[in-house]
Amino acid sequence: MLVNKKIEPLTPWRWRFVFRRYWTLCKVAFQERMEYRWNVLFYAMLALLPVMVGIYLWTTIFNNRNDPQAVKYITTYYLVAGFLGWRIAQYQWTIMFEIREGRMATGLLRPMSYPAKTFWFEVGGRTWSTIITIPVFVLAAIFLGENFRTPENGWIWLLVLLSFMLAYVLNFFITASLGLLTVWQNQPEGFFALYGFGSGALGGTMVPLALMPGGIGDILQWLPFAYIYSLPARIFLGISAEQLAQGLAVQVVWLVIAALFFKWMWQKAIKGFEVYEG
Amino acid sequence: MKTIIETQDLTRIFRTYKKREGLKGSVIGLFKREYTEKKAAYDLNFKIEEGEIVAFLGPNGAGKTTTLKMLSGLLHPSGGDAQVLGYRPWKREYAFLKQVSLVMGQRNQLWWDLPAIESFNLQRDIYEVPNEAYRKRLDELVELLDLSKILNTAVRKLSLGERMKCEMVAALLHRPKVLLLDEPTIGLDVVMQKKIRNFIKDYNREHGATILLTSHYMEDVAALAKRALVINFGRPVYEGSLEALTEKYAPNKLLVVSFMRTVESAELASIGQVISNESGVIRIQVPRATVAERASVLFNRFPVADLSIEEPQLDDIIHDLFTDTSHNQGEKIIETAQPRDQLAGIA
Repeated sequence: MLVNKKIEPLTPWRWRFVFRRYWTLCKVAFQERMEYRWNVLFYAMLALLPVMVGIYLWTTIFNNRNDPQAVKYITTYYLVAGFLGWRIAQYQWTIMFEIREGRMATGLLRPMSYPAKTFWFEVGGRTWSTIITIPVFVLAAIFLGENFRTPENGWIWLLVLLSFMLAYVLNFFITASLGLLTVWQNQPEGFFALYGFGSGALGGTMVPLALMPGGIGDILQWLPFAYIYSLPARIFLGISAEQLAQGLAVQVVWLVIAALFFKWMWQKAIKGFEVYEG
Repeated sequence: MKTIIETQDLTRIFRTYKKREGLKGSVIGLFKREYTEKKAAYDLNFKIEEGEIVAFLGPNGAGKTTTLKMLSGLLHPSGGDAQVLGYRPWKREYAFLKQVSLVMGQRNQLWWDLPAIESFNLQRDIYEVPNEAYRKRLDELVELLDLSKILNTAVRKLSLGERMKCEMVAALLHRPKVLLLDEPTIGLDVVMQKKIRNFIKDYNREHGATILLTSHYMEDVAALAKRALVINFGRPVYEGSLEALTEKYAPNKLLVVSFMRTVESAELASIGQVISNESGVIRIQVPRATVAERASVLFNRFPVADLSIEEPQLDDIIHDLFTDTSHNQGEKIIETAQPRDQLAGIA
């Protein structure tokens, strides 16, 4: 049987389509989320609750020690880490529902990368929910007054953004790999919830790694979770150039490892998915 | 004619976990599991030429959807080979995916919370359709399916029929050369079924698309396809024209007659088997080869007011084919130009 081997080259004309395709995907997701603006607002308020509880708890502790600098540090850390952590998408749930509801099958039959489609669609949706979430956190920052401090150097903001983007992609590869487990495990919700809570806790969203007892923080700072949840907040608060370079380097190393792991999982899952789908 | 779809011994076997009965079975299942293998499609060999509409028939679980999934690229076969438009579908090359569409009546590819037009715009970008061509095609399809009033309504608010029409538009915007339709009219009312049927027929005529269609509605099959592939238990049981299928599996025709006076069923025993006698209209089943002769006898012996000759319903023919035990075992019939008595020999 003769099989056609023709491959279309990626000419500048076609690159235009590739860009437009993902841009349209982002717009569609953005519009879809806009349909549920109140839901997004309530979720933003939900995100703020544990952050405020943490701030008041640690403020009480540090006030008792009469340490106003520590209060400012912890207040800013919680609010920034809480906000950015809330912006990190948990792709395991998206992929689980897509597999269960048959939308992954539809996606695989389209001439585009399914992982890229999933990634950009969520980016579009998150952009809308970020627009809703920002005022909620800004109001909280105003309410917290002088205990919330912002970087004086504009470059810090850019570095925070860079680190956050790397964290987002790193978390995409990890959580998308987890989501693919749905192909073999029909009820992975428990594991997904454990990961969602556990990764945040191990990444420093509940207690900053520097305040963890014994050598736990020293160990956790080498795990990927710290580079998803706390590095951008630490950069926001100000770290040395050496710490910054080391932090970004470790983040990139974890990103490469997670990307390779995802690629391996994807190849396995596609074969498994066929059994699931059949 | 160019061959567009060709399969060679195409086979797909599924391995499924067999749960033991009861709580004890569940506990044992934690440690030791038994698996069974099911041949969802087995040794399928067929060819479909360019521009053909072929009906792919079989009872539930026969392997139709599995085969369509293999031909669309969603499933790898366990054995055998297939090519569609010169590609191995399961390699899912973009150049192949751009020329094929799989429409599954029970699966939604539109974005649920947004108007259909947003999904169409996305299809345009995914399939790299230039703006001008997109606009032209969309206008054509919207007019053909009368969709202009619902284009901006959220998909979740559309009726099933409207949604199905939008699904068809989304599937055809990139002008696929091969259309794989799995129950495209399922759940629709008769008016909507007819609209979808006419639309598929028009698309085939205007663009020369090759269409493989599964449907449990025999009206779909009779209206669209000239040729049928029938499978059962994953194995092919018939391949050939619908006409030959009718001749082969419907050795009888129906004389539908009304009389100028009351005629009892018993009086008609010499003509054929009376199937029904309602409101003065009597249906008599007679051997296909003797239709003319029996009709003539009827005219000579009885005061006939009206007479028509009908083919039996395709549903009944297919039902007979599925329940024929020899075919359940996978014996295949290939329709040829041979006379009917020779065909009977093959069967």
